Amino acid sequence: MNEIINSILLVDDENLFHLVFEDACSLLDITLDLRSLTSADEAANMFEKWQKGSTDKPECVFVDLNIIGSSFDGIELVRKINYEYGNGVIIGIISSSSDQQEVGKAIQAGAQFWIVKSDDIEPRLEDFRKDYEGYKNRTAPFKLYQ
Amino acid sequence: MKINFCQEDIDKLIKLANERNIYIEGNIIKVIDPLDNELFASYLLKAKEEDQSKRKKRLEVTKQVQQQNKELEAKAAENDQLMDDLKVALSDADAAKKAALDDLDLLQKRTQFELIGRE
Repeated sequence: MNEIINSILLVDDENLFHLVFEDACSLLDITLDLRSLTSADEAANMFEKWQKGSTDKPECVFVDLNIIGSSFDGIELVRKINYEYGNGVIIGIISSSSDQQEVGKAIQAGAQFWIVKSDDIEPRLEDFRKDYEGYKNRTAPFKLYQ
Repeated sequence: MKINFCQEDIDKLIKLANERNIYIEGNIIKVIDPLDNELFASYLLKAKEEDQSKRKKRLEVTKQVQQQNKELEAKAAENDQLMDDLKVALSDADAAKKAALDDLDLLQKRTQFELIGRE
């Protein structure tokens, strides 16, 4: 039995994807606590606040690669969360792209996984959930789900 | 964390489901403990099935809308490209027209010059 992830934060500019992600997570029993933001700036601000000590920070963060309307992209947000706010969350990219150069940059920024968005996101989320314990223990290597 | 309801609330929820087919929805269903109440356990199972059925439908519709949006975006990009191509073609046509008019002008001037020369 795969464990339920305590809380997830999704950062993606596409509101429709928020609905897809929310329903997929609920149907797969991935989490009971899902929050969604449309801006990287807003997410960075929240992590800055959480850095000062808070119990409601998410356990796992999914970040879109290109967050339209934000001052920086998803990889920069991953880098900020990992290296500036140091919250030790499980974090990765969720994007329709799987460009190798971008994947390399994400790894450098500290992303633990990359999930390719498609019409059929559910099987990838299921695979991710199977590997989740490894991400939590920091024993699982970076993985691209496509 | 599990939560539980008192018997009075359980009875009200089951009555509402039986009489009006209204069930509780969302992730809260997953954290309610039916304790040893078999009737309430089966109510929660039914509520979860109803919730999942609704979410499946919504997921399908949302994916369709997402797909339609992508197609619209692709078509808009295609239209933009066609407009750009059209602008280039119009500009080329204008240039060709101008060249043709210049040539005609030159030809007319040459003809006039030749006619004057014959006189």
